[in-house]
Amino acid sequence: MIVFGSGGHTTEMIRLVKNLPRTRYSPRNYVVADTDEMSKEKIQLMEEGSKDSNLIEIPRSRKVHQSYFTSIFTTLNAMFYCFINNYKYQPDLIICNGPGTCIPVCYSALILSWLMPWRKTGFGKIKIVYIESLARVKSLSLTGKLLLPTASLFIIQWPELYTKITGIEINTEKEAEAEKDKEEKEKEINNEKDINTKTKTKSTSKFINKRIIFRDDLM
Amino acid sequence: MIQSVFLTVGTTRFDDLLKEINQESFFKALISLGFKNLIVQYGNSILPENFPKDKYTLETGETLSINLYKFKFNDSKSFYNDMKQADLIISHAGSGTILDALELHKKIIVVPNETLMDNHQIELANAMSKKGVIISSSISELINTLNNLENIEFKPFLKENNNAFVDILDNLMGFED
Repeated sequence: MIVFGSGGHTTEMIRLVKNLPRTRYSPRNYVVADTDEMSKEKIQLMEEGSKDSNLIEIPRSRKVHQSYFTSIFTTLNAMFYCFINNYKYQPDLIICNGPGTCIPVCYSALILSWLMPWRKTGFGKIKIVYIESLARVKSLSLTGKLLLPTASLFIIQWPELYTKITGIEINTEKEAEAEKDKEEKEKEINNEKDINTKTKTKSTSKFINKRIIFRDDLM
Repeated sequence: MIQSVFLTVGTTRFDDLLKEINQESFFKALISLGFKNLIVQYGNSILPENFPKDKYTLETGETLSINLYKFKFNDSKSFYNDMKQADLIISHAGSGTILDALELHKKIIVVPNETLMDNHQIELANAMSKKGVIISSSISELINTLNNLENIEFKPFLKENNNAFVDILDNLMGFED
C-alpha cells in the first residue's frame, strides 16, 4: 500500500516507487485523498496498462493550514475509511512520505494488527516504511514525528535532520578525525536530552540506528 | 529554438516577486541572456496593473514576448508542458516544482517567499542551493543573479533509474535479487 499526498510529496513518491519491480510488489494499492486530482493522474500514468494496481480514495485528513484541533475530527473520519481498506486489502507493506493521509492509514493498520494478530498482517508482521520528505531539511513534519516511534524503517534525506533526531553525526566531507571529539560530546548531550525528554527512546542506540537511517541517494 | 523562461508561483500568492519583475532591468536581463519568451504563471498573486500583457520592447527594438496566466487547473499536463518547454525556470520554493524542474534537467532559480510562515521552503531552497543543483535567490537579488547566470554551473541532482529505494525495500521484505 503506497500513500500519496499532494504537490511535492507526490513528485517524490513517484520517483521512489516507479522502479519497484511489479512482480515482487503486487498488488499495489495507492491511497490518495479524494480531492487530489494531480496524484490520481500521475498514478494512472505510471500504472498504465497494469492489472494488479488499485486506487483507494479516502477523505482528506488535514488540509494545508487547517488547525490541529479540527484536524483531529477529520482524521478520525479518514481513519474510519482506512480501517475498512486496511481490513480489506491487508497490506504487508505501507510506504509513505509525509502527507497527513499517512497518519490514518498507518495507525489504523497498526491497530488492526494488534486486534487481529493471527492475520498475515498481524502484530509485528506489517511493515511501515517512512521516507521523510526531501522538503524537510531541519525538522520533522508532524506526520514524521507521529510515525517515528512506529515505523519499521524511517529514512531521512538530510544529514542535519538525521543528526538532530539520532544524535549521530554524518560526515559528508572527510573531516572525520577533527570532528571526532565534537561528535562524542554532542552524542553525550543528545543522549542526555533523549533520556530526559522522551521515554520511548530508551531502547538501545544500536536499535535506533538500524531503524532510522540516512540516505541522500534516493532521488 | 525559442529560448523561453517560465516563472511560476504555484498556488501561492507572491505579490513581491511580481512587483520585482515588473521593471525594465528584469526584462533587459532576460533579453541579454538571449531569451525571447516569458511565461508567467501568477497563481493567487495580484498582477501589477501596468505589467506588460503581450510583449516588452527595449529601446533598442529587441522584444520579449510575454504570456500571462493564473492557473491551468483542469489540465495539469499543460502546466508541466510549460516547464518542459522552458530553458530557465524561476519558481517559488515549492518542493514539487523544484523536483519537477530537476527531473526535466532545467536550470532553476528559486525565490523563497519570505512572507510565508512556512520557512521549510527556505531551508529546502538553501540546502539544495548549497549542493549547487539549484540557485536560491532573494527577491532583491534576482536581477543580479540573472545577470550573472552564465557564470553559474548547475550540478545534476537526480539519478536516472535510481534503484536505491528498491534495494532498501527488497532488503527489508526479504526479497533476493
